[in-house]
Amino acid sequence: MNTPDSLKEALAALARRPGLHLALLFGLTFGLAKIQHPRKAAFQARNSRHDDPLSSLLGDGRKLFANHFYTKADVYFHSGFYPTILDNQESHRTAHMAEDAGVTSSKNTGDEEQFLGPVRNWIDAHGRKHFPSVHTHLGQDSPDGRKSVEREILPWLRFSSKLDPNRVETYTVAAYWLRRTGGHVEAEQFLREGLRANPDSPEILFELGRCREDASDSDRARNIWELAWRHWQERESAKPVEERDRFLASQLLIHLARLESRAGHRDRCLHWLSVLLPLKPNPEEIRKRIAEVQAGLPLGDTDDAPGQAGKIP
Amino acid sequence: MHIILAVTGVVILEMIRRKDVYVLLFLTALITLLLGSVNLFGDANIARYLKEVCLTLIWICSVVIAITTAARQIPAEKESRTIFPLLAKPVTRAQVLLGKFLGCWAACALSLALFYVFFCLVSGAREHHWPLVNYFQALLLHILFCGVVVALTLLGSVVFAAPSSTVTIVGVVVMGILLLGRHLHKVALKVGGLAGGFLDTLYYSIPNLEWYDVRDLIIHNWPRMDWTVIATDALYGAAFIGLFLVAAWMRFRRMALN
Repeated sequence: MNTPDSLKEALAALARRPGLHLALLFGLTFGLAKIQHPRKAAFQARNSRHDDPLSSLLGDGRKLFANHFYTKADVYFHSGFYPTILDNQESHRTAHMAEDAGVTSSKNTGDEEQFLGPVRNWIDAHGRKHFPSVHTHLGQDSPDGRKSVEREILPWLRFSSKLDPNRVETYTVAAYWLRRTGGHVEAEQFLREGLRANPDSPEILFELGRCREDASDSDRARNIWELAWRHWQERESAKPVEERDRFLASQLLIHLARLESRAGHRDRCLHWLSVLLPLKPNPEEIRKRIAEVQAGLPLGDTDDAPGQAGKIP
Repeated sequence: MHIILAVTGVVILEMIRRKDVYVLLFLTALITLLLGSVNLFGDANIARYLKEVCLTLIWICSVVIAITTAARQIPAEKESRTIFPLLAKPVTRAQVLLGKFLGCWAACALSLALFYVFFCLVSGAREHHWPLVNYFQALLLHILFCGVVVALTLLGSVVFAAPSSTVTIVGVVVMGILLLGRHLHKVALKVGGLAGGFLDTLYYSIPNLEWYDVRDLIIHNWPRMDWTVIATDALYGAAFIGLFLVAAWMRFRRMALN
């Protein structure tokens, strides 16, 4: 029997046994997978960005979606009452959820109630009965008024962070609202996740310090805030004075001063207040506080002290 | 009337036999449940994002069902030549059209009822809160929306040459109105002049389908709507349904079927 004949016979035998076909094909795919898997794992280890299907699929376009989801969280914070791109957005330039969390200074102007403008015709008047047309904030005056309803913004912040891990505000805002709804552990975990993507971010370190402060771990809160202050100095010292993020610096320094005051370290408290003094546009309040601390009084809470912003009630 | 109901029954039976609705319902359920299984900071009671995704999918499915079901009715009868025995009986073209419309509308309403039952279950399981009257209002408005879309599609199916072109054109028009209808007068004011006047005329002429989309009120648990608002919507929708059906009938009664 010559070779072509035996090959023909073997193929004919195969054709008579479809089960054998399946077994051979399965063996082939299994073997190929076994060979390819370590190579793919090695490639992914070298280039971790390619591991993320979202990054591969969307590229830098994912930042647009991240921004959309961040805004979506703010829409939820308003229970759906939010300006579209065709409305006047002056009152919503800074997300209100971030403003209320005290993680950013506000750039908002105008009346947040009136972005829809006056009723123009009967279609407009009737149409407004079909979507939310009253300004509310979750957890304050939201329509259903249930407990911990603020957590409804969190999924969009989570999706936003997945799409753009370098957007620091997503982590700090989410951490505040997580802490506010009782998720202290989750807030800290989320911030640490953010810190891995943004290792030198003073904003994330500041929020992380707040988590430690909530957990009555003053020593670690102090260390983290001091590290955040060093990172702030490194980052901001290169910028012109008027462009520096004074809001974050004020928050950091007032928290450090208050922490030292509570620990009875009057000198350290005065040190942080004196560092804060040139950063304040209106330093009178701080001078008053310095005088009080020098007189032996504890550093009190003040209405204009930025340390009050974002405080968990 | 029984002739119209007989045609209606045939359309509903056709929808039950076809697998479109089941596939769409299965896909909606699958995507919703997959998203629901995502661990979000270990909190199993976060519900609104899931309600939004589920309702958005239901809206997309309803537009697909309404347009694709209505667009093929008359062209399919023509193509398979079943329109001739149908009209040979003492059945007028107006009765065929009305029967087709009612059948498609009822089919949409039935499928929407199924979708909303699923939505109620998902929402209730998460929120432990059952605002059934609000959901019923949303379903009612959604069914009215489907009525207008079905009537518009039937008009398209007797105007345009093929079901595919009807589906595309009506789909674009409906999605356009849903997305931009509410803002047309704002754009008209900004643009001004002749273009502004044109947009303003368009704003008053088109069916304001966005009224029937009350997803934001449902997602964010706003109090239920006033019934007089829904009655006004029903009247407005009925007027447009009537307008489109009369226009479709005027075209259909003169249409050559061979």
